[in-house]
Amino acid sequence: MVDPNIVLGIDLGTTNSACAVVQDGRASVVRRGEDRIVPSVVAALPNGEIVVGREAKRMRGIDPTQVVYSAKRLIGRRFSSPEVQRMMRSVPYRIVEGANESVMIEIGGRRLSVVEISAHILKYLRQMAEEALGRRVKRAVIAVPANFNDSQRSATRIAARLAGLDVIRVINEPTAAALAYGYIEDMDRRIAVYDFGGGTFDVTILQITRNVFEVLATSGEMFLGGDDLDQVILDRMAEAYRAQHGIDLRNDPLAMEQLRAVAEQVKIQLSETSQSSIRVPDVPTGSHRDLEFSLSEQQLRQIADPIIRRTIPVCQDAMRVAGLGAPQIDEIVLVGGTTRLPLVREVVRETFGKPPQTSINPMSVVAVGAAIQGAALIGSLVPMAAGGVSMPTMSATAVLLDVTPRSLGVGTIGGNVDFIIERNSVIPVEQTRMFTTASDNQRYVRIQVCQGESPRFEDNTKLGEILLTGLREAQRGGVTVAVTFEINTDGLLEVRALDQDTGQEQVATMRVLGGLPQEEVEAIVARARDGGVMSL
Amino acid sequence: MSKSGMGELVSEVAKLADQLDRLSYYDFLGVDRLADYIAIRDAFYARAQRFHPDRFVAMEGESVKKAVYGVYKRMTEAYNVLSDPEQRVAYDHGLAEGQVRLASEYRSRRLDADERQVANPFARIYLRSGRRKYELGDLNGAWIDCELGLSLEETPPLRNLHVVIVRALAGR
Repeated sequence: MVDPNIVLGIDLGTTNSACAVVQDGRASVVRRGEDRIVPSVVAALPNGEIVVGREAKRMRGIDPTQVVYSAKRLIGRRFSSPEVQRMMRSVPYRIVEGANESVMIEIGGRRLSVVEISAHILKYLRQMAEEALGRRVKRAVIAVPANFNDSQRSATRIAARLAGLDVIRVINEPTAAALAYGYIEDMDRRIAVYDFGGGTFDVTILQITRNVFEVLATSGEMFLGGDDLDQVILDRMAEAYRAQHGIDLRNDPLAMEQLRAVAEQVKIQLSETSQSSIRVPDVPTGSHRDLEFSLSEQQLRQIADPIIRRTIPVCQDAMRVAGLGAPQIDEIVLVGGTTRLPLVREVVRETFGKPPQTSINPMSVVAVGAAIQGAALIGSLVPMAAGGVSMPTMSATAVLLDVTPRSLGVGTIGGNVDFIIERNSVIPVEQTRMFTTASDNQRYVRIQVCQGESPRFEDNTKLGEILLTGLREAQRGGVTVAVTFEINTDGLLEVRALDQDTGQEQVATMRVLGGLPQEEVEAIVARARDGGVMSL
Repeated sequence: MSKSGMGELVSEVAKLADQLDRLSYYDFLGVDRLADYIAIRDAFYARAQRFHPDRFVAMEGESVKKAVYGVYKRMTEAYNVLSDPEQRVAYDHGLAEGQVRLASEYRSRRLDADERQVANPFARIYLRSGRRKYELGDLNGAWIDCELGLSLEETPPLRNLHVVIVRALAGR
């Protein structure tokens, strides 16, 4: 039985994912046993079976080429984009180019699109929720980074669809985090959301004015996160190993993977204790050599400090763009596992001049916010009687307003951009532009679309192209097509075209670069339907 | 909200949807033509609480949802135009001649490369005005605009203009 009153709030993170639901006016994080967090990792076992989460992460120590992590960095991007190229150089799994400039990954002897990889994680979350709740779950609100562009948002949406989820709203992660803290009840506040995850760092400044969320600025570092801290701890471990056994492990990728998992544990332990001492048996596997390693909180501070301080200029940049100083920021919300480190909290306090909010677990705060938004959307959130429950509630009438994070433009002659929808416009927003044929009997018009702020087309993110086909025959300049660009309430682009003179609707196909062609999506969905649940 | 309250809202939506070609942006937001930025923002926020499509998600009937979406989209358009001082001037001119919407090409801001680097719309206006005054030789006026712009957003185009103005003032 599908329960129509349950909406899954999903945080599909770069490193870890989580989901939450609201039941009886109460938000709770979905768990499986003790686990509330699912590593965003997908792996193929030697028999070709696909596994997700903790089990997949363990495979990194066995065969790293079969383990896909950080897929979020790839979603909705073109194969030739710098981010994808950089990932190709740094990850052990194989990234190859698919049709339509899409990114494909080879694991388990087959090629999967990034969308399918993400769909596996989402499906895992859905099943985990269904197990915990004892009923089917269909609807979801999914959170994405505030600076995700149209291709990234729609690719995420498609992944959710492949996972059997009906996405009723795509919400910005910082907005979700602020919602979890219940700031929606308040008047006029400015909130900095400091999101320090496993692989990325983002800071977003939100203005909340009577339930209206406006993203004033968002800034980030694509490659800065807890993984960097694991790496410096790992380096120390390799040094200790060399001192103990006279062998340099750095040329042994499998042993390094084996230790990487331990380095992460040491880091987590030092968020709570001042000293961590461990003995790692049998490194590398089969050698019967043990590693004795200890690290104090004080030592971790020393080696982590330069990494954590890299977040400060990013915060300052965001405040500058928002036109605000630190004293004008009312609250700081922490998101992401790395913010559990005491040193991170100190740096935050130093940067903003006040202590951050810490009452909600930063690992699940986004999922909780997404679930609250989901419950509000379907109207199942009933304001609780005063003093009833401590969980943040949102009045049943509140709505969220969002703005588009980037400008949308089309390419013009000479490689320039004609901007059509400006960034920070409140959505939904639509704009219409006229396009005229340039030669006699021209039967189609091709329009290049991008998102970004540079006046040069090439410097922006190219989204794809719109093809207007089947134009009527006429002299050059004889056909004028009005093309309407609309960014809907999910922040997704829709395109419509109308022949100005005949009033005829024109065919306008949007080919999203790096995305899966529509037919391909249909085929995958059909395969998933016919072949049972797991063949995705 | 009660059922009857929702019914009232739906008939209000229908009424507005019928008048998309007749009502001005001011009518859609329910403000008068002299309303300042804050009043416009507050009015829009209040409208959003009533007419945002999210409020109608759980409701039956595609036609109501479609009408709501159309009405709300016009409200966001009204807000986007009226909260931009330059677009608002252009709109007021057109409205005097009976045009209830600002033509689409005026609704996207034609910004040059420098202006595009400035996120805060008011800082952008100070940049533009400061430049104009500088070109006209009003160095003091240009300096004030520049300072005001910088107080809102520390951004390279404003800083560069500031340097140029200060140099010109020193040379005088």
